[in-house]
Amino acid sequence: MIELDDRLGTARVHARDWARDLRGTALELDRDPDTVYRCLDNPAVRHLSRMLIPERWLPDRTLIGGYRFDGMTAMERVVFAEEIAAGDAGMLLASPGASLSGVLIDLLADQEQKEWFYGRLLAAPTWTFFALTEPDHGSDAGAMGTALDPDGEGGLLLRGAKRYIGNGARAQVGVVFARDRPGPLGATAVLVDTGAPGFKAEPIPTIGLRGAQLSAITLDGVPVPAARVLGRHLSPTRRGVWSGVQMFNRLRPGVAAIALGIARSAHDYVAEQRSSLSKAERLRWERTGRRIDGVRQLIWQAAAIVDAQPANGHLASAAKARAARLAEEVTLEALEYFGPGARLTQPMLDKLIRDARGVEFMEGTGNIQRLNTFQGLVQGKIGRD
Amino acid sequence: MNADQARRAARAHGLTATLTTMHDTLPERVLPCGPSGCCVLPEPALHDVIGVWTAGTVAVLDPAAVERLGRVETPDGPLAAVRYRGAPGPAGVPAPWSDWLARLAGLRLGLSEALLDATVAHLGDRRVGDTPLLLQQLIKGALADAVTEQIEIKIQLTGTPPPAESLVALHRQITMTDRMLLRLLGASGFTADGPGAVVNASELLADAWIGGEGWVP
Ligand SMILES: Cc1cc2nc3c(=O)[nH]c(=O)nc-3n(C[C@H](O)[C@H](O)[C@H](O)COP(=O)(O)OP(=O)(O)OC[C@H]3O[C@@H](n4cnc5c(N)ncnc54)[C@H](O)[C@@H]3O)c2cc1C
Repeated sequence: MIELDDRLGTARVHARDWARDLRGTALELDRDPDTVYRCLDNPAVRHLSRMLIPERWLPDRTLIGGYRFDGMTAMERVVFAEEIAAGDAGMLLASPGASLSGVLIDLLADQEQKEWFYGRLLAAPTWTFFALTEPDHGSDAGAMGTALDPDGEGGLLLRGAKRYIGNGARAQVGVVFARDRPGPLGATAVLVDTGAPGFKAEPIPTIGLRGAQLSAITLDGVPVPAARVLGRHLSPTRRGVWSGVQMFNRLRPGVAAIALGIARSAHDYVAEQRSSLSKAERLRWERTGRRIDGVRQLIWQAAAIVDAQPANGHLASAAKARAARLAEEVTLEALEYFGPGARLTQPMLDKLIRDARGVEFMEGTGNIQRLNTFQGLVQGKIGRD
Repeated sequence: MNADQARRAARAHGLTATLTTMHDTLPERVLPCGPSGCCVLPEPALHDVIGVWTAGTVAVLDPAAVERLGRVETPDGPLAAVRYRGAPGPAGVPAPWSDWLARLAGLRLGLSEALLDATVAHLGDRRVGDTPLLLQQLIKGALADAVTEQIEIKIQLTGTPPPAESLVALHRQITMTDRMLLRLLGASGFTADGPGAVVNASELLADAWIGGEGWVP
């Protein structure tokens, strides 16, 4: 069994404490995504807004239980993500901060870009987005059609459309993936200011995870200064596909932990609302608890591997696929403890069931994760020794 | 209307129209409440009801005991969710509970079949590289699994309806089949105005009348 060290154990206890408050606003955020603006003082939201900002830019970070946490390792992210998502996965996704873009900035941005990006985040609560998916290209993101072309005056112009982009409509800055030349190496990420002309983002109402405010983004000749091309100091290979793979590997365990948090939330909810379970119910509840514990171990192992070898995200894929399925199963199973009409009379449970459906697609669908797990198997990289 | 008619109607005309017909074809103007008093119907169906299913029998409705629980959103507009809180009256005729559950399963299966049609069309239109997603082997396998589930359910709902306990399991099987298909729809099945919204409503109907499979009253 993997056990957390004192530092991460401390993180877990604190985050669990913060999550209690999140439960109080979860339904409100589900109804109204603008609720996040009223929750900026929640310690979890404050924490998320400072994650993935390296120490150099934020030397006087508030300590938690005597320790410093900046979210730069996958292991740290999974511990916080599970606990915060067990409070409210919607709020985790709704929070301001570097979020998904943070990992890419860390990998690819040069000094000036980091100054700009972290500077914005530190000046005021700032939402960011990360735009890869397009209306016609989801899993097959390599086929993206959004174009990044020279404007003839030393700058660039973005043209195309992105879809299902978390925080798209409320973000001030974001990263957009676009094609600057044909072929598999032609993908480039650029930093975008959402106030730029030609940028439009509209929320897409969803079944669950409504805090994330998925958005449809239209890029109608958005000007991008050449200095905002991420990885411009690197070779095209390293700034394109390589960086994408590294980034997704690093993020994947965190997405798995969000799914795990949703499953655990439903499991905890049963125990809180049904103080006396029958013997059969207790056995069933305990069995589910053991499944949750098992998937948590898988996620921790995946995070440890990604931290040690960022190019190896195969186990992270297995963990993500497993956790997404667990979230769906455990939330549906929780209904069995309440009898007919539970989704109508227990709005929190109803929300968890709806939220659970969304994690399947975040950062790669189950099939894509299975294919990646298979690659790990045949390449001997899944950790069977 | 029997389960098979409900299935065909739902596949062709959708949830709200079929639920309306199911309610209209009950012998009386009743609120067909489940074991915990819950019921989900189109709003117009709530007007002019005079009876209620409570404690397994048909009783006279006390309008003051109808509690509004909220709305169930569907692409055709919201349905009303209510709970009957009235005391059971003198025992009336037994409510046709099993028949209702069977028709409800037929309705949900019809929606699931329409979802399968929509999923096949969607995947035929999306590509990975030069190939339609529909032709990926993992996708073919998943669609084969889903259609097998649906046919197994359809056979059981055809002719004499199965007993209530089996219907509970069938409803669960429909939910799981819908979930298989939703995964294949990608994020387009997660939007509030897409096919995933119908699945959510279908699950809410099953929950209102049946609850989870393992629930023991
Ligand atoms: C809550 C949420 C948050 C999101 N946040 C973001 C975000 O911030 N930024 C962003 O860019 N995107 C985001 N997305 C979009 C997400 O990344 C995509 O939904 C995902 O990549 C899948 O793409 P798709 O929905 O187009 O499905 P498709 O790619 O169309 O897939 C449809 C089905 O085909 C399967 N499939 C696809 N390719 C293959 C294959 N080769 N072999 C076998 N099966 C295959 C899939 O598994 C799926 O079942 C978000 C989505 C959700 C639901």
